[in-house]
Amino acid sequence: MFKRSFNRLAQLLVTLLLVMVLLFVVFYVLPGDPVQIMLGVDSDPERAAILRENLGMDGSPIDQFVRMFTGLFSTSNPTKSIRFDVAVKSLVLSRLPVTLGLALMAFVMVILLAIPFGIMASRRPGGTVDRLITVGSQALLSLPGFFSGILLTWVFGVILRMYLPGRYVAPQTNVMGYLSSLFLPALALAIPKLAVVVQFQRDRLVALHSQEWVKTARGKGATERGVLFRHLFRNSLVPVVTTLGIVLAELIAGSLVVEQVFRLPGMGLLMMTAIEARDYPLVMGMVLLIAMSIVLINLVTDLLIRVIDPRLRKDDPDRLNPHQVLGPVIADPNINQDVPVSTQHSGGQR
Amino acid sequence: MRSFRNSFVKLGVKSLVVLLASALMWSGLAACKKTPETKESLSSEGSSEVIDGGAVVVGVSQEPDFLDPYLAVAAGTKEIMYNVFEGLIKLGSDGEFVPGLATEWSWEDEGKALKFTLREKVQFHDGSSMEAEDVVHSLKRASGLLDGTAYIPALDIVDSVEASDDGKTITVGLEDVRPEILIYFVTASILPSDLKDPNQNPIGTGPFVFDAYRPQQDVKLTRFKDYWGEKAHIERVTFAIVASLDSAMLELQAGAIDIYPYLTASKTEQLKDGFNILSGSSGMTQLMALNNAVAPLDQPEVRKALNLAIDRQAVIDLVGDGHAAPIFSALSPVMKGAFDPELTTEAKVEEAKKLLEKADLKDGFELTVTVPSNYTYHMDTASVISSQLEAIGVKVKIEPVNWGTWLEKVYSGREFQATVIALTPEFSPLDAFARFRSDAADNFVNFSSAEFDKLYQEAERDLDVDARNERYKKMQGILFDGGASVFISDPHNVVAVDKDLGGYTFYPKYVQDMASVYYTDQAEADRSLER
Repeated sequence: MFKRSFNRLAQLLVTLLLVMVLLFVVFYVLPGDPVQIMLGVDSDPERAAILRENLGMDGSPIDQFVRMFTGLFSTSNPTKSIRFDVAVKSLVLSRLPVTLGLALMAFVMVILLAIPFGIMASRRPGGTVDRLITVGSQALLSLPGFFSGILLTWVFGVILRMYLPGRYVAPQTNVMGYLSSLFLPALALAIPKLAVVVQFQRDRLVALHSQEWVKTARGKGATERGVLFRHLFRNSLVPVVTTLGIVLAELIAGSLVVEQVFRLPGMGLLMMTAIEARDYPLVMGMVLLIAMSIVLINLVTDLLIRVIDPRLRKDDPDRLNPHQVLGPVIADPNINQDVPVSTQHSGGQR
Repeated sequence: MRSFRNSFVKLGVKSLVVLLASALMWSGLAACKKTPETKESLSSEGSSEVIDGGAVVVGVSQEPDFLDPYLAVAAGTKEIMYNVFEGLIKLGSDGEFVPGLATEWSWEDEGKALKFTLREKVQFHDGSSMEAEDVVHSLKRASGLLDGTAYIPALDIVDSVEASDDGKTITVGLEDVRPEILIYFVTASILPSDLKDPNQNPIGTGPFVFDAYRPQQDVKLTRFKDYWGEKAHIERVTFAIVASLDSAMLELQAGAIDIYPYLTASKTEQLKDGFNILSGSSGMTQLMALNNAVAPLDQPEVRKALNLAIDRQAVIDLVGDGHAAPIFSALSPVMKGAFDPELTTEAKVEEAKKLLEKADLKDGFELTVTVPSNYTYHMDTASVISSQLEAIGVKVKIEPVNWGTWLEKVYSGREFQATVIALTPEFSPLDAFARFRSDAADNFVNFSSAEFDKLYQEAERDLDVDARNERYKKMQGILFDGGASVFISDPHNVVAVDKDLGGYTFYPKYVQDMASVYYTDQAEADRSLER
């Protein structure tokens, strides 16, 4: 298991490096010079030259790239943001509490709401409850982040006057303030993602309902609740956890729009400004961080599914490939599934 | 059949309940902090007493670039830091020069030197007193005598800055006579001479002290208790950086922002209750710049034709809801005395068509107008103009580009046919005319007129203000007749100001003066501090 992870990691690091180089090239080719953008309509060639020197923008492109890349990690000679005149590392890290907090809060909301509703919908497929939940979640899916954001701000801020928009409180200042300033934005961010997870959870459970071993369990005299909790739910988890990993990555990326509407100083907002200002050191620093966090999420997801489903572990006698577990479910809910986890370990059907 | 209550369903329902409950609770807590709305206060209806105290939030759309006033180029930065830094001279709301850190000044040596008498007992924000050496240091920095780079290019003409022995006066020596140079002593801010890194530590003498800058969020200022002049009324100002106009509207309506300038006409409709909508000029000049070096615009008749085909008032009414003054040359009407009010014309479509015929373009031509897409005002203007130009057979193609691309391609590279943009010159006709000289580095329209250049050089040195104004009028005529570009209007600054605030003042300069603003209601002032 570790060798696989190590290989994966090595591959990803190489990809990261290639991405950095590509980004650098793109910025060179793209019209728009960061120094000129800063100095604007009243720029003076002398001032421009001084600024360029200060920012280390002299020398060959390869020199600049190497200097910039190594500077992203160093404290003694840090790469500075062209636009904001501070070290890229500290600027990007200072944005983490916002973006990460937002993504995590939205993630928790998605889990707390989507999974139970997915389960509820799967109890009686095609029934009223199921239909309501499906239609409801599809409706929410169509609400883009900025629209729900504006709507929530309008309802809670303007009409009900319960919320003062545009305020962000850092966690160091006041933890309650921090959480409440992220609450509505997290909700706006979570809403479109709820549908995906609800649907997925529901579909996965419905697919398992009609399995032989479920009937066996029911026949054995297990209660509905027992069947659900001990057998169905855990078996449905692997694809759901994988989806949740993707959702978390999307939440991190999707925070951009929500940060704009609610004026939260997160990475999304910074990224937009950095690109507009052609501040390529800053963009690189952020891309690096985002890429690293996605790698991390992938690794954790990988680990987690192996914890949930022992068949995916290397040392299991009936070792399976994740594709065999994830595969056909989405396409055909009635397909005859593999031996489930719980009954196998209780010596069940083969 | 059976209704099932298993743990997960319960969890789902519980989560919803918890979410709702926490939302209500937290809003309840928030509500508790607010004092009840006592509009029936003791003060009578319509009283506008000047309350001392309170906090004001001003929304601005541009992120500050440098806090150091000599490095700052963005108009948005100067708008904010105007409250922190001061120069020897200040500009009054009518454009008149008012004593700032100098109590008086006079020309010496037949106009080749300026003597300033320094104000005494002025304190910097860090508690130190302003001395002659601070002024000398700042002025030297501005004029390039310190490190070779003139941070205020027009002050390059300065060749010496000296303090008198008693430290009460400063004499600035010029290489040549420059009567209009006074305006630059408004912008040359005075900082402590021993200040390291003004960009991290902006210390000035103004009515507000810099408190903090959170990138992409806000700039916070607090009232300076030891200010030499009339102290500010409000205690705290927060300049909230709100790039999106829609977000700004929500925040205005929710009471999170009190003042928001540069609104568009459509937005002001939504703000009628709770806000006063004010408008005034900031001395800007909006124009459709024409590249004089590119065909068919290289023919003066064609440029003149475009000038005559545009109905400026229609543009003003449609785009700015009437809040603008039409202009026909590079000067804004705020420059009283220099501005030529006689230089005006109605749209003359027939004459324009005749001019095009003369230029052998009877069937019109195609014109590409490149517009920076982040400025809605200019995008809308381009649309209105394009429909007006259809009448003379000119087919307009609007090409939106982002700001960075505009600066590189259009402004520096001069790779364009026409573009719509607004300029923010200093409050001096020469500053507005400067870029239209043949050899100006920023002459992105490629205009060239020997007579214009000659008049400029003469006006630069003429000590007689009436003679200068005569020349300025001629220069405006040359720009118009020569079709340097199509000058459209001075778009006024439309500001929404909370009804409980008074004193908002306009200047012929891109600034937000917070020292003159005050609350008119004590309860509101107190409430504002809790935000």
